[in-house]
Amino acid sequence: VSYSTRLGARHSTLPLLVPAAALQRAPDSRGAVVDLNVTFAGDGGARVRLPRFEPTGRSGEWQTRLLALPSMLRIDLPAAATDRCNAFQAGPTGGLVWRALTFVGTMGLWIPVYFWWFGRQQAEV
Amino acid sequence: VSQLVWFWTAVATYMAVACGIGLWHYRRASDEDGFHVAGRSLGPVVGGATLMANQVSAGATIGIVGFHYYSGISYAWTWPLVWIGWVVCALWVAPKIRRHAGFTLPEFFEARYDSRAARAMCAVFVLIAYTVTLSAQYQAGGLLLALVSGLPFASAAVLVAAMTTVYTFLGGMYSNAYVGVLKAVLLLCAYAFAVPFLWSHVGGLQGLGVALTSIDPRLTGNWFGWRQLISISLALGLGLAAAPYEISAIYSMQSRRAARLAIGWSFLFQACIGFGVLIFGLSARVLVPQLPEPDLGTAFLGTSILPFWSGLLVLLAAVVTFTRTGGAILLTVASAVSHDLYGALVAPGASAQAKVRVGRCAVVLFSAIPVVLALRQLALVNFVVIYAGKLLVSFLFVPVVIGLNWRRATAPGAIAAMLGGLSVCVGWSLLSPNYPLGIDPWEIATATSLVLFVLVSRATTPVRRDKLDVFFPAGDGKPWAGRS
Repeated sequence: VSYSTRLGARHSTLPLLVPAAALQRAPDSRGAVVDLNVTFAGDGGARVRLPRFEPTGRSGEWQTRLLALPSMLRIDLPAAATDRCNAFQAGPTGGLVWRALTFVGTMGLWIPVYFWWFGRQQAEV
Repeated sequence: VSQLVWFWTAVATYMAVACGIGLWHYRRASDEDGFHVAGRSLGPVVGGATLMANQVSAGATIGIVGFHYYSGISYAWTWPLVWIGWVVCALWVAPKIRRHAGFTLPEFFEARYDSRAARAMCAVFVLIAYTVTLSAQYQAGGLLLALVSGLPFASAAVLVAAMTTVYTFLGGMYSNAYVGVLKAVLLLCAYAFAVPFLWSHVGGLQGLGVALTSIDPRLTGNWFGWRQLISISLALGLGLAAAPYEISAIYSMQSRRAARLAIGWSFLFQACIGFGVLIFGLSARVLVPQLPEPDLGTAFLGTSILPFWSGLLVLLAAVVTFTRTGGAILLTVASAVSHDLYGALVAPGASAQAKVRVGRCAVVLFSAIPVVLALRQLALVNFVVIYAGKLLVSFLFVPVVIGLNWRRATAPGAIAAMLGGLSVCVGWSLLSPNYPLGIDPWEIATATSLVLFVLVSRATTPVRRDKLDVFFPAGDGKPWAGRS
């Protein structure tokens, strides 16, 4: 699969097509063999921020080998004019935000309550 | 190649530091007080790190990350729910256990029930349950090392077993306690660097929510229902309240006050790690939605997603996690063999040095056995950890927690409770996955254990009053009163 894109922001996200199931494992491997190659038309310090890529040594070319396909590439383009594009789709969060905050709040509450109880017990002693 | 070199250098350095700690304390660890309970020298912070380090095993840093990857946010609720078990421990277990000032849980059984048979049975059952727990550590470690280094899984699992054995063999509880602090620091640093990076690239909670909902709406909702979450959490939490390695850690603390403060500190450490583990699992699912195995989430983030140094820190923290928890388990197993089976039953007159030698041999022997289970990769790492927790709670919770707080409990009652609990748990598990009436094996096993405990205790002769003074001192209305 190849993508040809024009990115306009210094911090950009390139969504990738993801298969509906895990790719078939390569022999003697924990996963598939996925080779990703990125070539920037003009160098200008552009780099792939995520996942981890290595420069090939040729100008503007980056590569990596993974065991599964990532859902996106995060790319830094220092020469671009605007700061960032809107990286994430809008849509329903499924209640993740309030669930996560309730979880953090519950754990945050546990600790002072426990130490308060401990202090009370010590005072009684 | 570069990361591989740095990874092995970091692992070698960690092993050198862990062994150095062990050798530094070698003189003190050459007696039983040193080897098993660190000379009872642990303060609240080191003790808290030790308790956390025991609980936060590879089951958390690799297994729970895999669980979040696979099932979304709902499993996170097991963290605060498991803490109910710690409160049970703080209220009804730790003070009395620390007052007793023994070495091991089986030793407590002999002291409380005035019965060597109860002690021996407890020691044997602990060996069985911990073989399962240790296999989960090896499986998790094997997966991580195999992915990072390219070694075959079998070789990687054997290497994990060897690494775990070395520092446990050299240092005993001293090594384990201070490596526990190292583990806490490494884990906190690893998550402190990695979580902000992941957070910024997946768009925070909002971005995670949108992406996860589009992958599978159950990931942001209740993949696990409350009934399942409460059942799993109580199995793990109540198991922890009576877990032999946590009891050993409590024995290692300076005082009863230090033991209770340490539980509070461990909450703080666990909260940070629980949040980090959650973000790791959810981010991994968003960034790589189709990993070949959910348990590869942490390793994949470390090798391919996070920046080089941050990834290296995460991988090293994972290595420390499974070797350290494996070490705590091995130490408990070694204590059960050397102190409770060899020292109390086989050779009652054995010197302390002889028992330490037997303990070190047991470390080597019982490190090898779980490798066989690990190589079979029976289930996701966290499923194995949960099952081991169910085994533990089914035979230990009643005779330890109820036995510490009910004077009338007797040795035959404790033996019946252990036998009945373990056998019902194993037998009921064979009906998986369609349990009758939806009752989980640990639930019916613990209920059976309780009924047998009460009925048999009522029908048999009480333990002599003078034997119980340490656990039920006159006028003991406040178990936390005073210092040890």
